[in-house]
Amino acid sequence: MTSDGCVSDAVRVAAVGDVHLDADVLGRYRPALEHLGGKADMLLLAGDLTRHGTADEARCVAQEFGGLTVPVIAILGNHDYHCDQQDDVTKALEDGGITVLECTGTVLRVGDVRVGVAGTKVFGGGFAGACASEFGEPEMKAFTQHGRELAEHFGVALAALDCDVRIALTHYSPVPETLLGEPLEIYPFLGSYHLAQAIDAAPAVGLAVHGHAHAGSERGTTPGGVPVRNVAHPVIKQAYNVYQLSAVLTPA
Amino acid sequence: MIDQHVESELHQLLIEDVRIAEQGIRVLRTEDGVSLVGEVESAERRDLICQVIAEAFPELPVRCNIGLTRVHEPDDVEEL
Repeated sequence: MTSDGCVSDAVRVAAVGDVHLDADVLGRYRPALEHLGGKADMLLLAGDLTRHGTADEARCVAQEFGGLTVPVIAILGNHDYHCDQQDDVTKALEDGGITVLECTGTVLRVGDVRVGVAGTKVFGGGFAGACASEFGEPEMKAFTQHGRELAEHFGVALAALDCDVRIALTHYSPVPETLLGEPLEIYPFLGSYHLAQAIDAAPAVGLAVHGHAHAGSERGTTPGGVPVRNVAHPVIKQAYNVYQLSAVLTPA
Repeated sequence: MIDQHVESELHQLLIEDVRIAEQGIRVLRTEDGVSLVGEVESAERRDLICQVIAEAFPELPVRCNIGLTRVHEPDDVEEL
Protein backbone atom coordinates (compact mmCIF):
# COMPACT_ATOMS: atom_id res chain seq x y z
CA MET A 1 0.00 0.00 0.00
CA THR A 2 1.10 3.53 -0.59
CA SER A 3 1.10 6.12 2.17
CA ASP A 4 -2.24 7.31 0.85
CA GLY A 5 -3.77 3.86 1.07
CA CYS A 6 -3.81 3.16 -2.65
CA VAL A 7 -2.98 -0.32 -3.86
CA SER A 8 0.58 -0.22 -5.12
CA ASP A 9 0.08 -2.39 -8.23
CA ALA A 10 -2.65 -0.18 -9.64
CA VAL A 11 -2.51 3.39 -10.81
CA ARG A 12 -5.52 5.53 -10.04
CA VAL A 13 -5.90 8.71 -12.03
CA ALA A 14 -8.32 11.45 -11.03
CA ALA A 15 -9.24 13.89 -13.77
CA VAL A 16 -11.49 16.83 -14.51
CA GLY A 17 -11.49 19.60 -17.10
CA ASP A 18 -13.35 22.80 -17.88
CA VAL A 19 -13.68 23.96 -14.29
CA HIS A 20 -13.60 27.64 -15.38
CA LEU A 21 -12.46 29.02 -12.05
CA ASP A 22 -12.86 32.61 -10.95
CA ALA A 23 -13.40 34.16 -7.54
CA ASP A 24 -17.10 33.24 -7.58
CA VAL A 25 -16.25 29.53 -7.65
CA LEU A 26 -13.48 29.52 -5.04
CA GLY A 27 -13.99 26.82 -2.42
CA ARG A 28 -16.62 24.95 -4.41
CA TYR A 29 -14.37 22.00 -5.31
CA ARG A 30 -12.32 21.94 -2.15
CA PRO A 31 -14.55 19.67 0.01
CA ALA A 32 -14.42 16.96 -2.67
CA LEU A 33 -10.64 17.30 -2.95
CA GLU A 34 -9.90 16.78 0.73
CA HIS A 35 -10.00 12.97 0.46
CA LEU A 36 -8.37 12.76 -2.95
CA GLY A 37 -5.19 11.19 -1.55
CA GLY A 38 -7.15 8.08 -0.57
CA LYS A 39 -8.77 7.78 -3.97
CA ALA A 40 -6.10 8.57 -6.55
CA ASP A 41 -2.37 8.82 -7.16
CA MET A 42 -2.56 12.02 -9.19
CA LEU A 43 -5.00 14.64 -10.42
CA LEU A 44 -5.08 15.69 -14.06
CA LEU A 45 -6.66 19.01 -15.07
CA ALA A 46 -7.68 18.92 -18.74
CA GLY A 47 -7.67 22.61 -19.62
CA ASP A 48 -10.15 25.51 -19.54
CA LEU A 49 -9.18 26.05 -15.96
CA THR A 50 -10.18 29.73 -16.09
CA ARG A 51 -13.00 31.75 -17.67
CA HIS A 52 -11.00 34.35 -19.59
CA GLY A 53 -7.39 33.28 -19.14
CA THR A 54 -6.22 35.95 -16.70
CA ALA A 55 -3.49 35.56 -14.11
CA ASP A 56 -5.98 36.46 -11.35
CA GLU A 57 -8.26 33.63 -12.40
CA ALA A 58 -5.27 31.28 -12.56
CA ARG A 59 -4.40 32.18 -8.99
CA CYS A 60 -7.91 31.04 -8.06
CA VAL A 61 -7.17 27.72 -9.78
CA ALA A 62 -3.90 27.41 -7.89
CA GLN A 63 -5.67 28.12 -4.61
CA GLU A 64 -8.46 25.62 -5.33
CA PHE A 65 -6.34 22.77 -6.72
CA GLY A 66 -2.96 23.47 -5.12
CA GLY A 67 -1.60 22.03 -1.89
CA LEU A 68 -3.20 18.62 -2.37
CA THR A 69 -1.66 15.36 -1.14
CA VAL A 70 -1.25 14.09 -4.71
CA PRO A 71 0.63 15.61 -7.67
CA VAL A 72 -1.51 17.86 -9.85
CA ILE A 73 -0.72 18.00 -13.57
CA ALA A 74 -2.48 20.47 -15.87
CA ILE A 75 -2.68 21.72 -19.41
CA LEU A 76 -4.28 24.92 -20.61
CA GLY A 77 -7.41 25.11 -22.74
CA ASN A 78 -8.68 27.67 -25.24
CA HIS A 79 -10.31 29.79 -22.50
CA ASP A 80 -6.91 30.02 -20.80
CA TYR A 81 -5.54 31.75 -23.91
CA HIS A 82 -8.36 34.28 -24.34
CA CYS A 83 -6.63 37.30 -22.76
CA ASP A 84 -3.20 36.47 -24.22
CA GLN A 85 -1.88 35.95 -20.70
CA GLN A 86 -1.10 32.26 -21.07
CA ASP A 87 2.46 32.66 -19.79
CA ASP A 88 1.20 34.44 -16.67
CA VAL A 89 -1.52 31.81 -16.28
CA THR A 90 1.09 29.06 -16.46
CA LYS A 91 3.33 30.81 -13.92
CA ALA A 92 0.46 31.32 -11.47
CA LEU A 93 -0.39 27.63 -11.67
CA GLU A 94 3.24 26.58 -11.25
CA ASP A 95 3.63 28.95 -8.29
CA GLY A 96 0.76 26.99 -6.73
CA GLY A 97 2.65 23.72 -7.15
CA ILE A 98 0.80 22.55 -10.26
CA THR A 99 2.83 21.04 -13.10
CA VAL A 100 1.80 22.57 -16.43
CA LEU A 101 2.49 20.70 -19.67
CA GLU A 102 2.46 21.96 -23.26
CA CYS A 103 3.92 19.45 -25.71
CA THR A 104 5.99 18.27 -22.76
CA GLY A 105 5.82 15.40 -20.31
CA THR A 106 6.56 14.31 -16.78
CA VAL A 107 7.07 10.95 -15.11
CA LEU A 108 5.68 10.02 -11.70
CA ARG A 109 6.44 6.89 -9.73
CA VAL A 110 3.39 5.11 -8.36
CA GLY A 111 4.55 2.12 -6.37
CA ASP A 112 6.79 0.22 -8.76
CA VAL A 113 5.26 1.77 -11.84
CA ARG A 114 6.68 4.74 -13.73
CA VAL A 115 3.70 6.67 -15.08
CA GLY A 116 4.43 9.13 -17.86
CA VAL A 117 2.02 11.97 -18.62
CA ALA A 118 2.38 14.09 -21.74
CA GLY A 119 0.11 17.04 -22.30
CA THR A 120 -0.93 19.70 -24.75
CA LYS A 121 -3.88 21.94 -25.42
CA VAL A 122 -3.57 20.97 -29.09
CA PHE A 123 -6.23 22.35 -31.49
CA GLY A 124 -9.08 21.47 -33.80
CA GLY A 125 -9.07 20.25 -37.37
CA GLY A 126 -11.69 17.52 -37.47
CA PHE A 127 -11.86 13.83 -38.19
CA ALA A 128 -11.82 11.39 -41.08
CA GLY A 129 -14.03 12.53 -43.92
CA ALA A 130 -14.79 15.93 -42.40
CA CYS A 131 -11.55 17.65 -41.56
CA ALA A 132 -9.71 20.82 -42.46
CA SER A 133 -6.95 20.66 -45.06
CA GLU A 134 -3.90 22.76 -45.84
CA PHE A 135 -5.33 24.10 -49.05
CA GLY A 136 -6.54 27.46 -50.30
CA GLU A 137 -6.41 30.65 -48.27
CA PRO A 138 -3.49 31.26 -45.93
CA GLU A 139 -5.90 31.45 -42.99
CA MET A 140 -7.19 27.96 -43.75
CA LYS A 141 -3.68 26.61 -44.13
CA ALA A 142 -2.65 28.24 -40.85
CA PHE A 143 -5.66 26.79 -39.00
CA THR A 144 -4.95 23.29 -40.26
CA GLN A 145 -1.18 23.49 -39.87
CA HIS A 146 -1.40 24.72 -36.27
CA GLY A 147 -3.36 21.67 -35.14
CA ARG A 148 -1.23 19.22 -37.07
CA GLU A 149 2.05 20.63 -35.79
CA LEU A 150 0.90 20.69 -32.16
CA ALA A 151 -0.23 17.07 -32.45
CA GLU A 152 3.12 16.09 -33.93
CA HIS A 153 5.08 17.86 -31.17
CA PHE A 154 2.83 16.26 -28.58
CA GLY A 155 3.44 12.84 -30.12
CA VAL A 156 7.18 13.30 -29.82
CA ALA A 157 6.85 14.25 -26.14
CA LEU A 158 4.55 11.30 -25.44
CA ALA A 159 6.78 8.74 -27.12
CA ALA A 160 9.94 10.09 -25.46
CA LEU A 161 8.73 9.49 -21.91
CA ASP A 162 10.89 6.96 -20.04
CA CYS A 163 8.11 5.07 -18.27
CA ASP A 164 6.06 1.88 -18.02
CA VAL A 165 2.67 3.32 -18.93
CA ARG A 166 1.70 6.54 -20.68
CA ILE A 167 -1.21 8.93 -20.24
CA ALA A 168 -2.16 11.50 -22.89
CA LEU A 169 -3.62 14.71 -21.42
CA THR A 170 -5.19 17.10 -23.94
CA HIS A 171 -7.90 19.71 -24.08
CA TYR A 172 -9.23 18.96 -27.55
CA SER A 173 -10.46 15.46 -28.36
CA PRO A 174 -8.54 12.82 -30.31
CA VAL A 175 -11.69 10.95 -31.36
CA PRO A 176 -15.27 11.76 -32.43
CA GLU A 177 -16.90 9.25 -30.07
CA THR A 178 -16.48 11.47 -27.02
CA LEU A 179 -18.07 14.36 -28.91
CA LEU A 180 -21.41 12.58 -29.33
CA GLY A 181 -24.07 15.03 -28.16
CA GLU A 182 -22.31 18.04 -29.68
CA PRO A 183 -23.55 19.40 -33.03
CA LEU A 184 -21.78 17.59 -35.87
CA GLU A 185 -21.10 20.95 -37.50
CA ILE A 186 -18.62 21.96 -34.78
CA TYR A 187 -16.60 18.73 -34.56
CA PRO A 188 -13.66 20.33 -36.44
CA PHE A 189 -13.46 22.89 -33.62
CA LEU A 190 -13.51 20.23 -30.91
CA GLY A 191 -10.78 17.81 -31.90
CA SER A 192 -8.44 16.35 -34.46
CA TYR A 193 -7.60 12.94 -35.83
CA HIS A 194 -3.94 13.98 -35.84
CA LEU A 195 -4.06 13.70 -32.07
CA ALA A 196 -5.27 10.10 -32.18
CA GLN A 197 -2.50 9.32 -34.65
CA ALA A 198 0.06 10.70 -32.21
CA ILE A 199 -1.40 8.71 -29.32
CA ASP A 200 -1.55 5.46 -31.29
CA ALA A 201 2.05 5.89 -32.47
CA ALA A 202 3.39 5.82 -28.90
CA PRO A 203 3.83 2.54 -26.99
CA ALA A 204 1.94 1.56 -23.82
CA VAL A 205 -0.58 4.38 -23.69
CA GLY A 206 -3.10 3.35 -21.04
CA LEU A 207 -5.42 6.35 -21.10
CA ALA A 208 -6.16 9.52 -23.06
CA VAL A 209 -8.01 12.25 -21.19
CA HIS A 210 -9.52 15.40 -22.68
CA GLY A 211 -12.09 18.11 -22.01
CA HIS A 212 -13.54 20.96 -24.13
CA ALA A 213 -16.71 19.17 -25.30
CA HIS A 214 -19.26 20.14 -22.62
CA ALA A 215 -22.14 18.42 -24.38
CA GLY A 216 -20.13 15.38 -25.44
CA SER A 217 -19.94 11.83 -24.12
CA GLU A 218 -17.53 10.35 -21.64
CA ARG A 219 -16.14 7.27 -23.34
CA GLY A 220 -14.39 6.51 -26.59
CA THR A 221 -11.41 4.61 -28.00
CA THR A 222 -8.70 5.56 -30.46
CA PRO A 223 -8.40 3.49 -33.64
CA GLY A 224 -5.40 1.84 -31.96
CA GLY A 225 -7.42 0.80 -28.91
CA VAL A 226 -6.45 3.43 -26.32
CA PRO A 227 -9.32 4.30 -23.94
CA VAL A 228 -10.35 7.95 -24.30
CA ARG A 229 -12.27 9.76 -21.58
CA ASN A 230 -13.92 13.17 -21.89
CA VAL A 231 -13.67 14.62 -18.38
CA ALA A 232 -15.23 18.03 -19.10
CA HIS A 233 -16.98 18.93 -15.87
CA PRO A 234 -20.47 19.18 -17.41
CA VAL A 235 -19.97 15.66 -18.82
CA ILE A 236 -18.79 13.88 -15.66
CA LYS A 237 -21.12 15.93 -13.40
CA GLN A 238 -19.00 15.55 -10.28
CA ALA A 239 -15.80 17.08 -8.92
CA TYR A 240 -13.58 14.58 -10.74
CA ASN A 241 -13.61 11.05 -12.12
CA VAL A 242 -11.21 8.29 -11.12
CA TYR A 243 -9.81 5.77 -13.60
CA GLN A 244 -7.74 2.76 -12.63
CA LEU A 245 -5.06 1.56 -15.01
CA SER A 246 -4.42 -2.04 -14.12
CA ALA A 247 -4.27 -4.08 -17.30
CA VAL A 248 -1.17 -2.36 -18.65
CA LEU A 249 0.89 -2.18 -15.51
CA THR A 250 3.49 -4.83 -16.02
CA PRO A 251 6.76 -2.91 -15.85
CA ALA A 252 9.02 -3.40 -18.84
CA MET B 1 -40.95 31.60 -33.53
CA ILE B 2 -37.69 33.60 -33.69
CA ASP B 3 -35.64 33.44 -36.84
CA GLN B 4 -32.17 32.00 -37.32
CA HIS B 5 -30.55 35.44 -37.25
CA VAL B 6 -31.70 36.06 -33.69
CA GLU B 7 -30.62 32.56 -32.69
CA SER B 8 -27.18 33.20 -34.18
CA GLU B 9 -26.82 36.56 -32.42
CA LEU B 10 -27.81 34.99 -29.12
CA HIS B 11 -25.27 32.23 -29.52
CA GLN B 12 -22.46 34.65 -30.31
CA LEU B 13 -23.45 36.85 -27.37
CA LEU B 14 -23.20 33.91 -24.96
CA ILE B 15 -19.63 33.27 -26.09
CA GLU B 16 -18.26 36.71 -26.93
CA ASP B 17 -19.78 38.92 -24.23
CA VAL B 18 -16.97 39.08 -21.70
CA ARG B 19 -19.48 38.96 -18.85
CA ILE B 20 -20.61 35.50 -20.01
CA ALA B 21 -17.88 33.74 -22.03
CA GLU B 22 -19.78 30.45 -22.06
CA GLN B 23 -19.32 28.05 -24.99
CA GLY B 24 -21.50 25.31 -23.52
CA ILE B 25 -24.92 26.95 -23.40
CA ARG B 26 -27.41 25.82 -26.06
CA VAL B 27 -30.06 28.11 -27.52
CA LEU B 28 -33.26 26.25 -28.37
CA ARG B 29 -36.04 27.99 -30.23
CA THR B 30 -39.48 27.64 -28.65
CA GLU B 31 -42.89 28.74 -29.95
CA ASP B 32 -42.66 32.19 -28.43
CA GLY B 33 -38.99 32.69 -27.63
CA VAL B 34 -35.93 30.72 -26.61
CA SER B 35 -34.84 28.27 -23.99
CA LEU B 36 -31.26 28.44 -22.71
CA VAL B 37 -29.96 25.00 -21.75
CA GLY B 38 -26.68 24.01 -20.12
CA GLU B 39 -24.67 24.09 -16.94
CA VAL B 40 -22.41 26.72 -15.37
CA GLU B 41 -20.17 26.84 -12.32
CA SER B 42 -22.03 29.37 -10.16
CA ALA B 43 -25.49 30.82 -9.56
CA GLU B 44 -24.09 34.30 -10.24
CA ARG B 45 -23.07 33.24 -13.74
CA ARG B 46 -26.48 31.74 -14.44
CA ASP B 47 -28.26 34.88 -13.30
CA LEU B 48 -25.90 37.11 -15.27
CA ILE B 49 -26.55 35.16 -18.47
CA CYS B 50 -30.27 35.76 -18.18
CA GLN B 51 -29.69 39.44 -17.34
CA VAL B 52 -27.41 40.04 -20.33
CA ILE B 53 -29.78 38.28 -22.71
CA ALA B 54 -32.73 40.27 -21.37
CA GLU B 55 -30.80 43.53 -21.88
CA ALA B 56 -29.86 42.63 -25.45
CA PHE B 57 -33.28 41.25 -26.44
CA PRO B 58 -35.83 42.93 -24.15
CA GLU B 59 -38.86 41.74 -26.17
CA LEU B 60 -37.76 38.12 -26.33
CA PRO B 61 -39.28 35.62 -23.88
CA VAL B 62 -36.37 33.64 -22.42
CA ARG B 63 -36.65 30.47 -20.37
CA CYS B 64 -33.53 29.84 -18.32
CA ASN B 65 -32.94 26.11 -18.01
CA ILE B 66 -29.34 26.52 -16.89
CA GLY B 67 -28.19 24.49 -13.91
CA LEU B 68 -25.11 24.37 -11.71
CA THR B 69 -22.65 21.58 -12.41
CA ARG B 70 -22.43 19.33 -9.37
CA VAL B 71 -19.15 19.08 -7.50
CA HIS B 72 -19.68 16.10 -5.23
CA GLU B 73 -16.96 13.57 -4.49
CA PRO B 74 -17.03 10.47 -6.71
CA ASP B 75 -17.80 7.16 -5.03
CA ASP B 76 -16.63 4.82 -7.77
CA VAL B 77 -13.60 3.99 -9.86
CA GLU B 78 -13.66 2.89 -13.50
CA GLU B 79 -11.22 0.06 -14.16
CA LEU B 80 -9.81 0.36 -17.66
